[in-house]
Amino acid sequence: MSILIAENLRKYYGKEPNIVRALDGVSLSVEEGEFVAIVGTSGSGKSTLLNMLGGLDVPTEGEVIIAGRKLSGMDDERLTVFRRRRIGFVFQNYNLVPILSVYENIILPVSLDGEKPDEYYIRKVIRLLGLEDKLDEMPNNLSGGQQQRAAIARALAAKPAILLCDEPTGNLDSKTSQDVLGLIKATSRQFNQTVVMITHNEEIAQMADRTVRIEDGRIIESGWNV
Amino acid sequence: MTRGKKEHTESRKYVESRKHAGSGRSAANNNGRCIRELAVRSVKSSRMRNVFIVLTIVLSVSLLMVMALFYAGMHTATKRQVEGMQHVIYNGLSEEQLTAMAGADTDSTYVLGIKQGQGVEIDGTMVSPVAYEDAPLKDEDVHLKTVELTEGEMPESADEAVLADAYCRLAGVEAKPGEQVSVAWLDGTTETYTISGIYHAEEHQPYYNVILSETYAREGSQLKDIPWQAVVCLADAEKMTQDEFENVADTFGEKFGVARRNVNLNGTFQRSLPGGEQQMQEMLTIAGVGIGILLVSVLVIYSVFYLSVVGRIRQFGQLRTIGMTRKQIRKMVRTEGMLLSVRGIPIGLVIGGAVSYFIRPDGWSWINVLAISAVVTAADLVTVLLSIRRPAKIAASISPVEAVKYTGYEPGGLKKNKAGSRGEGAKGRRNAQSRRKKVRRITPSGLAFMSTSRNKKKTALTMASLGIGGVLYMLAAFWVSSTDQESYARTGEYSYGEFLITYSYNVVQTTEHGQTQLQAEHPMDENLIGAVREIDGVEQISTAETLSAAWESNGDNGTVSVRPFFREREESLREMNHEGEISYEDLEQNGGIICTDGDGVWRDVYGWDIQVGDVVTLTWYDGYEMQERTFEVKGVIDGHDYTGKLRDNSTSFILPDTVISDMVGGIDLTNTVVIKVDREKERQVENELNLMMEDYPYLSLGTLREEMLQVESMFNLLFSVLVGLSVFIIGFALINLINTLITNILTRDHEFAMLQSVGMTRKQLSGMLRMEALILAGGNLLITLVIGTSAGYVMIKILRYFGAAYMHFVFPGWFFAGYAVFIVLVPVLITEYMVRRFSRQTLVERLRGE
Repeated sequence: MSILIAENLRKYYGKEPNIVRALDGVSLSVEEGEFVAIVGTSGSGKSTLLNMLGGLDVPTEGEVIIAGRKLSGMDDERLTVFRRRRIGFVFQNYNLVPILSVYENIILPVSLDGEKPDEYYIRKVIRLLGLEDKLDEMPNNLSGGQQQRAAIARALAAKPAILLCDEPTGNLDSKTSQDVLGLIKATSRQFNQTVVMITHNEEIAQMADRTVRIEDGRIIESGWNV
Repeated sequence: MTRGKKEHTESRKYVESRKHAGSGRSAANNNGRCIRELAVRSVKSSRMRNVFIVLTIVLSVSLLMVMALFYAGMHTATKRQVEGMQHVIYNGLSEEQLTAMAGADTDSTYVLGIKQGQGVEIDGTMVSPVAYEDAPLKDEDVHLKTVELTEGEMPESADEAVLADAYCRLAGVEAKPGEQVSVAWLDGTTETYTISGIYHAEEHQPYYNVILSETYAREGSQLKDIPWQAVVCLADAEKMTQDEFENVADTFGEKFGVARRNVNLNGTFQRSLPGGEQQMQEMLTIAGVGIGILLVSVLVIYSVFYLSVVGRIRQFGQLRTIGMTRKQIRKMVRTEGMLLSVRGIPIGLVIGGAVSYFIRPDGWSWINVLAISAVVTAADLVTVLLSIRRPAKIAASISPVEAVKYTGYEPGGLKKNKAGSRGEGAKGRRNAQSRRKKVRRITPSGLAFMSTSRNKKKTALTMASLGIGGVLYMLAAFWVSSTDQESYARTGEYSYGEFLITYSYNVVQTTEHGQTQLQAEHPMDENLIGAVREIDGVEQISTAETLSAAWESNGDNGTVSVRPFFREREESLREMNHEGEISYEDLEQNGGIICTDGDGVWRDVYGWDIQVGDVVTLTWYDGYEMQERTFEVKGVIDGHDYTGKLRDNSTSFILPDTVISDMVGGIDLTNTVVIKVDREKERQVENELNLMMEDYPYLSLGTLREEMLQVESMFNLLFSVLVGLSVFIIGFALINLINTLITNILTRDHEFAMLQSVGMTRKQLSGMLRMEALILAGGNLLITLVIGTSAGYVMIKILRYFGAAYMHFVFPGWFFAGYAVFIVLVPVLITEYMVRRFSRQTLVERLRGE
């Protein structure tokens, strides 16, 4: 069953003749539990695509459907609520809230929903990501890898339908990058979590189940990794 | 795209400026231009901050200008006014003394003879005959303004007069030369004059002059027997101190045989001279308020700059990375401050100057303006430099590595956590287990509290700078609310009631033996008091007794009110500050008398102090003939204490009641009846009393209502000044608040985008920001309430200590409520506006915007 469907997505900036086609008719479908890597060079449109998929940006044309819900029909308020319940984000620069401890950051999306976190599940995630001793720390006191692990835990906290990762290892050294990617893959396996990750690094992309290659705003290749 | 293009152009300019800086060859660091260019660019890039700082500077400069120019203008106006005024008037002169004064003496520069006759009360207004000599007897380039005619000429013949326009309206005569006016003088003579000229006077003045000619002064019925007065200007008096002037004026009078009591110094002129206590107090007040304004400005500018620097930490880090030294960063921030001052100060100077001109056009002086502008400019430049010292230091102290990690939050909380995390292994696990207890409520409001408490310094600073404005506002409000105008009006005899019955001034003046004769013939006895008591609404009647007498002591003489001293008052008189012995028995048996003396009034008027052991001779009318007796001063009571405790400010001598009664053969000496009424029926009682007074033509009725009207008009001016000052103060607080809120929101755009990206709705964001703003407002209100109330309480205590007994501590509820609504509403509106402003940008843009 496709948990994510993108249909003919277009995102244009400016007007003719200076129009910039950041996305130009992208269609994509991702199955539940799948780990997909979107690769492309700088300016290829991969980040734009991820933002459309996550409802952070609005396409000029086309449709995004997540877990059977069309994003285009939602107003800002509903989209935000949908995002915090059904989509998890992992950013290159972690985007942890500096005034909250690691644990508070992790449960933030659930708390914003007025819900109590599922302690059992959260503890499993924390253990998997090796954050047990860092929960009371403030983000500033953590290394880049630790911050990114906290960001992944936060993204998983609300048991989202899909985890969107935007160059999650972009700010990390190669050893830490490997660790973080390993953890993303592990969570995907353990929690049957659908993951869409964008990267410009071919090697990293190889860790995903499938690689989608994007160039000049179009998908030019999509194939399973062996 | 446009933004990108702009940045490109900016950076090209910057490269060019670097080139210029480099071409300066003086490799010894000729970087001033480059730093300046960076500062200019920075100033251009943060419009919002600039607006706030420039506004603050404008506000503080204009406020200082208005205050200083108003004060200087007052002095200039007084100086200009006194230039055309006499320095001294010598009373009771014969024609010979007057002529001698104008003789070949170098001590005076101007001498003009005038006469002032007995005034008459017409419909509650005093009208007096006054005549000036046609020309001064001596005039060495001094031009005194005697009367400024708006129309016509000064009178020449005995039947001509100059009148005030306001008096003409009162008398029902057209204010026009050639018109005829009749005046019924106190001695019963009615004279008709032809108006030769008109001068302007405000309406509702307590007295008006009818100005007559020199011929009238010599021949006219009202003035021919009146002694001359000499209007004199003393040589070089402008260069004297207040004390020197007083001595010179006295010595000059003595030279021509004028007794000290007949020397009438021009108080306005004297106060314009240096060396007065009041002048010193005024200067200190102005300096205090000025420093207060600068202090508030320092806090506001500091907080604006602090927030601006904190918001640009990464930028400073980048500059440090590419090789800018700490000193250069400091210089850059300082230059930014100076550039903004250069914009704000001139605007403030112009606004302040213009406002001062409109407030006091007669005090306008370019020299004052230039001098004060220079001082205010210097003071504000120092203020700005002081305010940005610390932010500049913060900016300079940033290392490139710190800048990348900088979040703007204080590390206080982190340290605690660090300490907690030091415990590894088992301790760490225990921490994790007890974690749930430590987790704070993650709701929009909870986040707001966390954010505020994490930035304790910033929060405290903002609250303090807002609070100072609030406290100053509360002081002004306390002043207004605690001033009991009725209490002020009741400081005298009205403290005992709302109506005052006394003998009519005109009747007293025209009765051969004055008040005592009236007391003998028309006593304010039980008949009168009984009739008053019958009026519905009258609650209590108090009376005061006085004997009017003439005194002589130490070679001087005058008239005075002598009060009876009842045996039961002995203790209360003894409790007052006094010298000598106060004993009823002693006074009664040994011919003793008690005097009052406040602030050395005897010395001021007669040149000597009344002392225990002095001999005083009293002359009075006993109902049949004049009597005379000599008394020995047994005690001198402090006049302030006496007036304060007994609400009596007209008494100079006190005698035992038995003695005084014996002196007048039992005449009822009641001369004042004070009536206390049910306030609900005050108007009705007034009508009845007015009706009753028609049967007592020798009495006059005074009302608290009329007294209050005068007090109200007096306080209105003071209150409008206080309100004006409050508007400025609130202006400061408002700029500070808005700036804090906006800067706070703008610099945390990325943080909010993060929160929104993980699912915080706009409503929740709005709620969080609103709560943050309300925490600030709440803190401000708390400071305003607690410190403002305490300060207000202390202020009232101090004012009461210095004699303002009419001030009673009253909490300015409405003022505070208004301020509270304002202080709460503004943040809510600003927050809403800012959140709406966010939605113009997509979340992605804002997330990248870092």
